[in-house]
Amino acid sequence: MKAKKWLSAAVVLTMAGSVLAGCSKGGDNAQGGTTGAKQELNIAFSAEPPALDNSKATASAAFTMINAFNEGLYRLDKDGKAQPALAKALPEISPDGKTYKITLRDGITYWDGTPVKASDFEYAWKRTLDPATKSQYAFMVAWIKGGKEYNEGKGKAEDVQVKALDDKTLQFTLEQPKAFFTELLAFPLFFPQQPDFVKKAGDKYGTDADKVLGAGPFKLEKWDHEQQLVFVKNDKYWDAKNVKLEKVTVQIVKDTNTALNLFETGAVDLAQINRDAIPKWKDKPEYTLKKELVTQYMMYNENVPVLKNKKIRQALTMAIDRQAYVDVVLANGSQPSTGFVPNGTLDGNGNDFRKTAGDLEPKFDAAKAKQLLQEGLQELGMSSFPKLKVLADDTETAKKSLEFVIAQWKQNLGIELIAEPVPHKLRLERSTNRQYDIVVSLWGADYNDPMTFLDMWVTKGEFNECDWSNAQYDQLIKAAQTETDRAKRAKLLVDAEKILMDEMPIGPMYFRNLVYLKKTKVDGLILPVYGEEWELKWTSIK
Amino acid sequence: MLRYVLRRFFYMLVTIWLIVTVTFVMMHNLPGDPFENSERMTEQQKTILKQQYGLDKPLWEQYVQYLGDVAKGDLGVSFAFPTRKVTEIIAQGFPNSLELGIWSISLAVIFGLTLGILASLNHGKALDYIAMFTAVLGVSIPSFVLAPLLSYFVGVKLEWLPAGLWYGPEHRILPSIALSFYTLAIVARMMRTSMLDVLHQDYIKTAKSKGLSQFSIVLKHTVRNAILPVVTILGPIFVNIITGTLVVEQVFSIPGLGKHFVQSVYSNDYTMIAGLTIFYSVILIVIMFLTDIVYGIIDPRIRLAKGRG
Repeated sequence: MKAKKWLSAAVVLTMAGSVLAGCSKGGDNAQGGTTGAKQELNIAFSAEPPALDNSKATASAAFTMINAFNEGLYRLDKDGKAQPALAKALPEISPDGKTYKITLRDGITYWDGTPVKASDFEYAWKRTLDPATKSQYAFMVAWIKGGKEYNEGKGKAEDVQVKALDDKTLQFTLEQPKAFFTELLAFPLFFPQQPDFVKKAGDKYGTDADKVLGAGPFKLEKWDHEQQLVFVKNDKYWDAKNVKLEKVTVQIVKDTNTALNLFETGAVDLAQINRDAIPKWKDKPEYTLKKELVTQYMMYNENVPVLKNKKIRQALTMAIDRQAYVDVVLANGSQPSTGFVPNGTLDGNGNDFRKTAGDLEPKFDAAKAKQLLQEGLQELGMSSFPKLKVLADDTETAKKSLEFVIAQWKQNLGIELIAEPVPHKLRLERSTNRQYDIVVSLWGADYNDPMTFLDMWVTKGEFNECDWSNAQYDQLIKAAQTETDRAKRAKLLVDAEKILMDEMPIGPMYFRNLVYLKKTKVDGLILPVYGEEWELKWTSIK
Repeated sequence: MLRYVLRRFFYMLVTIWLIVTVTFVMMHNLPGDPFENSERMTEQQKTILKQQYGLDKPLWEQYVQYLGDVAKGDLGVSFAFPTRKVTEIIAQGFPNSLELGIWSISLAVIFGLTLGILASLNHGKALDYIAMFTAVLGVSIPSFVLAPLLSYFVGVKLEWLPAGLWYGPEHRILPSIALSFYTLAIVARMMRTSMLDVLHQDYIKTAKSKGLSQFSIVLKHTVRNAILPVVTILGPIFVNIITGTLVVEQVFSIPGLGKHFVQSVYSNDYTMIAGLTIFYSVILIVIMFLTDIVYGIIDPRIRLAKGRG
């Protein structure tokens, strides 16, 4: 009997102990987040960034962080327009559109006080091009004359046409004019690097908080891998007076449900959410849509006889109700596609390309699709449509999408196709090796210009994995690559997309958007359409 | 004893070698290449990277090279984080998984044993039913259900404890509970059965007839003998807990190793897959070895038998 009492007491004490422990406050990041107008921001972020080395970065996670602690010659404002940053003014561009001369601001330094020189840009860009760096994004820097040769190991660094004329002046010459190059200079790939610092850090450059150096609005103060990155305001930044945030804590939270829980408890002020949470938040002020330059599309393998027929490809695309697709299946703020180039892509002439081009993709029309299918089969001398397979990723969303399109084809065309969901890596491998009939694919912009979407489809293009070929299309893209008149160039690209939407080697489905929740006290935060997840320079807490 | 230890050590090496070999072959049969962002890479870039990582060499050559590196304690560089060594990633993540595991197993053992003992001492009474009902719940509700429930109700709705993250002591409680519940239930049920078995033994009757106090009978004679089967399962359970933290780590956003396990397979991060497999194999084998020793300490008969063998 005594024993029972003693044991019961022990249980009660232990339980009480745990509860009391639970009530204790501890840790530098306890719940509660920011208060009042304290200029501190907490963000839930879904991925641990790989190295924060702008020569090697490939992931949005890395670009986002680099953009917070470093800066290029320009910084994009909320409209995606380039504003002078480390540069004093917009570049002087030669009449042929190839040579850029840029003057740096006076008195700009990295956060350790070292001056930022024009030669730091030259050093960084050449480091990106150096074959030993193995930069995946080097192809963009390789647009500078001599860059491609050096990057491919066929030329020398000194032959690359980028030169610091003095400490304040940078000059470079492009192989061909690029209408979007000024905006591109705001991309982290083109940020400066302090040579002594990079050399001293060696292959550890960009791997820890003490292994990065920047001249941006914030300093990276702490980086606990897989857990958090802490940024504090950089007082040495040239525009520090316009930077309001004193501290930004980026919590690595991989699970969107967890991010939502943390948002609801106030532990974070910004979080991305998934479709399940959207109905609850859709009409609340915290609901924030982030448009992306990403298109999902069907790719029809030209090596499959039945898919060689244009009418059949058109029928397959036209038979899918894209509005229902985004409303019912995705329900995440994505928009039905109206072409291959997504909304928000600038046309290189100061306008939105989609507005310039208009709706070029045929609208959903089940009856017409059925008619086209019949005509196509007749042209091929076939009586029925073969049982083709549709390859896609095996994520939840991808599987739902796959079910939807197959059901649409069955319902609207009366044809049966076989779903083939596979792991992402396998899908990529099979696309590359042309081991598919139809594949559901995604493409996101490398830079904000239609060219990043349209030059893929030239004959034998590296990412033209459906082997479609059209001489007229090739010609238009080639002409656009050298055209210096921006309006004419935009027109050439529109004409190219018209061919793509008529020939339909690919059937665009939707333009992807993401949904974020943002506390109403957070003001001036930008969610850029490509490159970075968010831009914090002009953010403040109301 | 020394011979026994050496033999065990040799078996351990053979086991690890077998695991490394099987893992190596299986992961090289995964479709696709291991490079991050590979959909944006040109074939030329892939070729360069394959040369850099030695993936262009014949498989047997890669295997020999890899074994040599592992023997030197070098698990290579992660493909997903090319600037970080696999050993670094393990060193950063494992302490958190281990801490969570220790918290969970402690909770499971303390409350599991207590529940089991209380249930057995109150056999057939209300307390027994309550304890066993709790145990059935624990076994029935997996951690991937309990973790989000706790996070949402205790964290978001009641705001008693943080809904996630891993900073102060208050961040440890919910994930530890979520992870310990199943083990707690197993321990409680096992302890109860074991206790009931021991309580009916003749020597307990003898002890009672000798007039020993209930306290002394329960603690010295019953619990000590009844705990043996529980100790046997604690080793594997502990390994299970520290390797099976994936869901709980994900739900509470804990910077542990769990997620690397799944992610590395999904992204074909060869060195990470192999590194984690080796690491966990070593832990499993070492813990099983330690369990044997602890078992021997508790029950001298085992020690003697092994000493002879």
